Amino acid sequence: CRCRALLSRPAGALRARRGLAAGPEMHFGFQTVTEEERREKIYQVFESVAKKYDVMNDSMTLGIHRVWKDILVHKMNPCPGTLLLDVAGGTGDIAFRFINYVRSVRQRQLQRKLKHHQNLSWQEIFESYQKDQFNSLGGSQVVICDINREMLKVGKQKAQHLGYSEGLSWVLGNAEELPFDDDKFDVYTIAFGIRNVTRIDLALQEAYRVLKPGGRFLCLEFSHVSNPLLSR
Amino acid sequence: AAAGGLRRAGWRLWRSRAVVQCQHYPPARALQASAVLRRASDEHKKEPLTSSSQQHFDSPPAGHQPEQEPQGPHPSYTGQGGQESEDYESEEQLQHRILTAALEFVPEHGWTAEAIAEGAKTLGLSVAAAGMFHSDGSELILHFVSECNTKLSKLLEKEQKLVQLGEAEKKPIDEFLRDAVEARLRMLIPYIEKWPQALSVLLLPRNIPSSLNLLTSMIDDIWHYAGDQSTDFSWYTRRAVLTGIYNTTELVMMQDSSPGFEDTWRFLENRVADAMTMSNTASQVQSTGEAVVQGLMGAAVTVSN
Repeated sequence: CRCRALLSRPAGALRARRGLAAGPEMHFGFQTVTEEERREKIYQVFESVAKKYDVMNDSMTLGIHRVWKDILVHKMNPCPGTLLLDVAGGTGDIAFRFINYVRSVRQRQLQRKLKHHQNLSWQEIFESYQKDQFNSLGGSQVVICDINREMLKVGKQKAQHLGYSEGLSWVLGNAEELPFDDDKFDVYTIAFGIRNVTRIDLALQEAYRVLKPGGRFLCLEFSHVSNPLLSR
Repeated sequence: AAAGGLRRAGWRLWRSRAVVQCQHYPPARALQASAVLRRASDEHKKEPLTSSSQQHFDSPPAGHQPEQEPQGPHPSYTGQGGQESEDYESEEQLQHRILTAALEFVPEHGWTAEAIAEGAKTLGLSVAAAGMFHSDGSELILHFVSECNTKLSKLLEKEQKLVQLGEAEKKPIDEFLRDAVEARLRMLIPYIEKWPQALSVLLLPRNIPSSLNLLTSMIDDIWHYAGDQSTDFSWYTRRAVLTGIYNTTELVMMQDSSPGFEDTWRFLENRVADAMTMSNTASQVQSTGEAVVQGLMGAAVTVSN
């Protein structure tokens, strides 16, 4: 089970046994592999599972992953005009939720603006329409970045199927080496993805680099359960 | 001046107790974070967290300067690489700056996270910085109230200095109270449209400890500068009465549409006069009561003889 991958085992004893292996040792499930092999294996797993990824999520977490992702976006509380980078965003769950949230916030904003517009002259109302203030997303955008081409393909199909057309970009990229400039994004999210990154420190450095000063880093991940009954 | 210094030290102690209890404004996380940061850089920060005596307060201001005036727009609050230079800004100071910048967007957006986001934008930060605060804007309101109280204290202190130097007349109590409450309520005028929303947020159970704290300390300040030195039960009654006057006047101000809020000031005048009459009546009743009792005793003695 992928969620156990983070549990550490004494590396010293194992390293002695592996002797001639090249590169530092890493864990993949219950095996011990090198960095390169780990990347390859993870890539292959997600490639083969891409089409059934959502179903797999539902069955592994009994649907509660939807609640977790909703809570993540609520904690983010984005306002219209936010630029989001969703890393390891594959099939786009977080991105779609973000767009829904921003749309409803924007709706409320526009309603409030219209209430104020009640006592404007026709000229002023005409001018406000000209300025194209009434776009539904308010300038917010999501960039979905994933290392796996198959996952992105599935994500794009899902977006088309669900009717999300504007505000989305799909980029192929490695979390350890993001293809973006410095100080570009307001929010960086990585949901159930950081455990699949081989060098987590590099990913965090990249996150720090691409985030604007004042930007937020949000990570959703499995953790140890403190209740001893449930942790079995 | 010594009394003022001691009072300020006492105020520091009060606030530092709030640090330990972790229940009051500002948010506990930020205080703990800034507590860690402060302990880490002793040489620059001399603000004690547990004790506050006068000597700490008078410690060399050189160490304090970089704290009071955060220089430049580079908040290196992540503390990366152990940057402990004079430009180091704690999380608390950064939050303070963001909230101050957010106040000018309140008339447009209300007391919400959106106003905070706009404020953060003017400081060159991302709009996501509003995520540092609670999504209902409570911290913004508490910050504003705290700032107003500080301004009021400074104003009253200045007036007191003038009186001490002999450049101004000492006002009678009712006029003093009236002027103090009026000055404090006038600070709400730029935000008066959205103030009812702020009042309702301040009454949320989560915010009640902090807002009550701010209110009582403000009333205490006013009475202190009015020259109250009572040590009996009247300490409590005076503060209760003034709190009542302040709250009712604030509510009247919310729905006052007269030019320059004349109705509100007249209402305030009447309430303060009532309070004065009440205290006079109370003492009159007491002395009358004593006289009656003495008369009865005399009658009893006469009858028994």
